[in-house]
Amino acid sequence: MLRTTFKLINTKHIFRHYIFRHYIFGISLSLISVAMIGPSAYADEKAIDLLNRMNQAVHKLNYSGTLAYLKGNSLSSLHIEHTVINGIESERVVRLNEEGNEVSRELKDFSFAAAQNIGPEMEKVYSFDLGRENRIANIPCRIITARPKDRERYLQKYCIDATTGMLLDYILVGKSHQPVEQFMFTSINIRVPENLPATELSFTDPKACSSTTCSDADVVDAKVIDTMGATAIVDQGVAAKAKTTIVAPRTVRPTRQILTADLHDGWVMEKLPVGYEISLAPAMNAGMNAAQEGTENLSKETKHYIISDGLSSLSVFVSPFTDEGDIGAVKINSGALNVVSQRKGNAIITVVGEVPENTLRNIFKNLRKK
Amino acid sequence: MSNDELKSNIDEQPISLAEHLSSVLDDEAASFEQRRVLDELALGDKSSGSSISNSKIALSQKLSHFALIGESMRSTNPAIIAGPSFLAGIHEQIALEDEYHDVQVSSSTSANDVTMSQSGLQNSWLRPVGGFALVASFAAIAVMGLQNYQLNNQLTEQSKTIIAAQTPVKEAQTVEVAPSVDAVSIANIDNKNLDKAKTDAKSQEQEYRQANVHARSFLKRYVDSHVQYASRSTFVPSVRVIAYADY
Repeated sequence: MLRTTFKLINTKHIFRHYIFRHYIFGISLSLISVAMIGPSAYADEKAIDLLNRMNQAVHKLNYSGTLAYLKGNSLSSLHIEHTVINGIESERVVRLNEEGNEVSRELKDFSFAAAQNIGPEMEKVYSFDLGRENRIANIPCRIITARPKDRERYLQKYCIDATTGMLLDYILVGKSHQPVEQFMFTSINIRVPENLPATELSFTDPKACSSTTCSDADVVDAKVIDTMGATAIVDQGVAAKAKTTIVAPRTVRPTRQILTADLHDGWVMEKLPVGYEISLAPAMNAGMNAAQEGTENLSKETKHYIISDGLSSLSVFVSPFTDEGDIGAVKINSGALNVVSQRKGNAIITVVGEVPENTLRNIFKNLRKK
Repeated sequence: MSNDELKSNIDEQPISLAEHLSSVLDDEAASFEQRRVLDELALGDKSSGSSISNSKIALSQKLSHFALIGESMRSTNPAIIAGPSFLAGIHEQIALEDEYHDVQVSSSTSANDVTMSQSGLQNSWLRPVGGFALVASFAAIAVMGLQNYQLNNQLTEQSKTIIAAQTPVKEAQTVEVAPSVDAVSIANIDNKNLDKAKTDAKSQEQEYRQANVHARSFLKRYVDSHVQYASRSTFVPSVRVIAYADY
């Protein structure tokens, strides 16, 4: 009987102890899960919010600065000026090394719809992470990483000034975890256009945002944000001597989305990587310069399809095959940009994009004539 | 019954019965004596409330003591001598157990009700919270598992596509080999297909060549058009335009 009593008590105590421990384990696991998932989701929202603000800021702000541009193994320095006058954007980019050529263009009738916001569909193929604070051109900025969930696109890393939303550093990372393309401001002067309504672009107090997160309560309206401390004086003489090229006005016309995989002239895109959508660009001859007039007829017949997931994009050009336009099967790599061109049937398919070469090849492979 | 009363009852038992009990336990009693002792013990179990039954209970307790003594003498481990207070403590602990309270619910006193409600209060927050915690844990694990599963599926699918694109060798093996062919033939066909596929892959790899100046200038307008309409990366297209100006 004594033994039975001991056994009974021991069993009951062990059972009760086990249940208690089970509860404690469950509670601990829940707390850990909440601790892991909660801040992560919060960070994602903040990262997306900052990216969306950046999309507006780079088009609505006046800024000028010098940036280092790394493309593959080639490093160059550029001066960029961006102004918005009466709602019309214009850009001037000057190469500061080598021959110092210059490209200017006016972005007429810019539609903000073209500056695509981060949507839920993008979150299926990227995870957006809010990283640590960094300092670029003597301006504190927050690192945002758009990490692809497959190998069909590059990893993109941004460093955004939380005060103005200005992009200060941008890196495209290839599969070997090495930057394939990067630009980084070494100095920048940011100004808010005078006629910009305060409600259109809100800025956050840099002091309040210097820590980990910025809340809505921190948002204050500011008309002028000047970061003159980081401004570099550009040698205007060098820029004036530079060969200037006027690029055709960049009229952003809406592209037409193609809902089905059926393209024009019997071409079919059999399979697209996850997250990509197809749209049709305007005719290619628009804005063609004199040097390209010889191929005007060919351009008229060339169809330009844009395949984009919102952050990464590539173009598919379908041109009729001609002897004069036959360049064989070629591939080009320049930093993040890859080009693959090859004949398929009676057409030349050229795929261009800032995506890995394998993605271009898969697109080429999946494009078939019915 | 107090300990003194119990002791006096045991003393009143015939000595021979206690001795017989001891001899039964030591397996030294005859069958008649064994039957007698067992009958006495059985009577003690059946009857209750009288003085006779008390003596029988004392006999049964004597049996327990003898059994414990014998067990401790036979045991190689040192025996734990438990006093009456220890046993009383055990019984109190057993009485406090919920399960025993449940049995007494119908005839419980108000004190017992208070004890029950207190134990209920102790469990009232623990059970739902614990239950919620367990459910939340499983849900979290399930969500994370599902995400990993989906991601793995996507990656596997895409890696399969990439592998298929990069190594058409396996496709060739799968398509070409007939199931009725014997193993040697399969091996030969496999080798042939492998060689063919390798050659095809090599030739396909060689089909692409680095663009010359003519090809680059030809493709430049495609790049321009792509930068103009397709590049999504803020003002990077502007930078790219100048970078590709001498492309």
